[in-house]
Amino acid sequence: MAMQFFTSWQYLLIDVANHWGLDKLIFNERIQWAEDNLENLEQLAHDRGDWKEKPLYLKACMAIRDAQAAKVSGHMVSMDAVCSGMQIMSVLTGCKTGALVTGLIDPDVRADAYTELTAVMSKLLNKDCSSGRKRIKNACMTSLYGSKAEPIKAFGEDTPELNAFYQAMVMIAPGACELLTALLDSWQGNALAHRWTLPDGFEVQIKTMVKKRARLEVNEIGSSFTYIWYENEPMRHDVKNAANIIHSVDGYVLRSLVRRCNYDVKCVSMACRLLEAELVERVFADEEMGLPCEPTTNEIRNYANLYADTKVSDIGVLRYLDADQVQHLKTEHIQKLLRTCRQMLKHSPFEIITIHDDFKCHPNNMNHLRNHYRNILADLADGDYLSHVFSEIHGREGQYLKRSDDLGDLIRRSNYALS
Amino acid sequence: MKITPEYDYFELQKQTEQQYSRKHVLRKIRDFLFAEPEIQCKITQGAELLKEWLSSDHHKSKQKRLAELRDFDLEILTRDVITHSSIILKPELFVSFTSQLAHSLNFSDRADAIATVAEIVVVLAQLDAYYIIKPSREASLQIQSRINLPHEMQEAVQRSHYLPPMLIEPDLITNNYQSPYLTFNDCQILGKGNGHTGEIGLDVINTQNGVQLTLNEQFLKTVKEEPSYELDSLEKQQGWAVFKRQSKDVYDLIIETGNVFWETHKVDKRGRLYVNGYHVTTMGTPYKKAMIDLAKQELVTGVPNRQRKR
Repeated sequence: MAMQFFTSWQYLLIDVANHWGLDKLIFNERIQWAEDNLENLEQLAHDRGDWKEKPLYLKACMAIRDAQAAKVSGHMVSMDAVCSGMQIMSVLTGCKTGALVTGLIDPDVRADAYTELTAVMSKLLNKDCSSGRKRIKNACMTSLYGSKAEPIKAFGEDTPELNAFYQAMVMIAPGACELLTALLDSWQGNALAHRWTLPDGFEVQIKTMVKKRARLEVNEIGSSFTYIWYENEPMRHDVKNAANIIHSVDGYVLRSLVRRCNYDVKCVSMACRLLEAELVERVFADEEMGLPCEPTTNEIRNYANLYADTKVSDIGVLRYLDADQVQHLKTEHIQKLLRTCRQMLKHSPFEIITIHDDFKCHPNNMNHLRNHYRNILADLADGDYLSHVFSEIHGREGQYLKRSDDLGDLIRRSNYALS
Repeated sequence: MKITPEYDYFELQKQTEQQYSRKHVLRKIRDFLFAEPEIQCKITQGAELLKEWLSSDHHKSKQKRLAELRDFDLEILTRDVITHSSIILKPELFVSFTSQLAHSLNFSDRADAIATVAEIVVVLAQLDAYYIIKPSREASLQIQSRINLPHEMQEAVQRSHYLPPMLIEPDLITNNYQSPYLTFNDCQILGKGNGHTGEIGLDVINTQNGVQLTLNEQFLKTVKEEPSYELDSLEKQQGWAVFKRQSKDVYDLIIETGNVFWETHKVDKRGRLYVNGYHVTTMGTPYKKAMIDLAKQELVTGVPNRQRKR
């Protein structure tokens, strides 16, 4: 089964089930639960008392009642990325094992890396660890960003549980674990700042800030105080690159999603025509002629270079295209851009609301949002972003060897990238 | 107050910014303070105290450090200390107040700046513009204003961290140091010292700033806003009461002016996008998230006939 598309009504049902706490079920089961309880949704909430998501559940009930009464609504349904950090790390490294447990491969399974991790730990330790799922989730999230303290806090130092945790992590997400080592090793001990760019040109600049502490005497009051402040100085070692690089990529995913959902129709339609015309032109052109010398605008030069470095095509370039500038893009780049433009033009632009890895829109548009999200991840999986980012940070060309080159195709057929 | 269609929303937005923005509130307080002859007198007196203190005997290293103050206008320095202390309505740690103030002194060495500011604050305590308190023998030193600001200014100080959402469509941002607001500019990258002029995806900030939102009045009327934490101390109960009252003020402002608003956004240094907002925010508690709808409303399609209720 490929990606399931739902009616707007069904998205409302999924939404209410999610806020009831059933987001780990497959979509059809969530819909079924809401249908079975449709008449009593409010009563269920009343009987249950308080829980964290109750306001969102009650609001989803209101939206359902409005829809039944054929009232217009501005209610937004939301979907979260499945284990966002691990999902992105698996995508970038071409890791199918990690992609499987983060919803990017099997369209029939609502994968959940934390549940999987708990199950593997239970097997390794030969005991049921499911009561500690929350602890395991926290240890997993933080350890992928370089924390050693949190897993120790969760499982104790030098314990069989801690060993099983690390063993299980490598088993369920080997690409992410390998990448973590490379991210930690990318720290530049002599640098005042770490800088890298995302495929859309976003410039990350992170100053190295060193914590200072001093006891300062204030004779005027006959007292001394401990002051803490931060200075911009090199630091021999830190783990911050792990979280910072992965968060910069989730920021990029978010920007790409906003650009693909809420686009300028005129600009994208025009770009689509230019890209199509250029491709036709190239079929008949003499290949020996090659590309025209240098792009005449900085924007096109930057995007062409970014594509050459990352192999990720970003639609930010569309607004700078004209009949001359399009000639400076590589054929493969044009083909990828064209594919994205066509996906966008399948729907009218629509507004979305984002909270890092949580995305909301009107239920009428959720099919398109989900489709764009998995396509963005697939584009990243097809590309070579890690080689680019490590080359920039280390200051020398290098290549990060991915674990596979066909993960993108699998992601394009996935169902539970967002859930 | 119901806003008539002819109401000048541009003016309303400006007034809201004047009322809530910290920069504007501080400016208003400064204007208020320095119109008071008594404060003027304190400033002159403060400059004299500092002059005297600077010229007195200090050990060599301190003398060297204080030499950096030579080029400072001591009246302006006194004015800054008084202005910043006047908004300390509740006791605050002496250490954190002086560290923040030290940011404004362009000393080459941060530790020197902190030490000097701490000394200046102690010297200027003689003006009786603030208390320096030690609540108990073990407790850390605290500072609290002694200046009686008018009630509306005290309220403005408490609210001033959090601008309500915009009531008109935000201006398009074309550089990293512009803001979508009408009366001030602001760096679009969060965090002190993180600003730069490189690419930060302003197109996405503009797109998200342009999403028109509305409060769901039915939800606000029927679902009670509850704290997301235990109210297990008097301080927490008071804090929650203030937060609820301020939130209601912002909901009322939005609803009375037509119930359409726009949230503004910034990025952090890594490129993660954040909403500027507190009382009304799509990034808040489940209640805050639930009360916000898209202003552009549509009919939900695909409702099976058997489920329709007319």
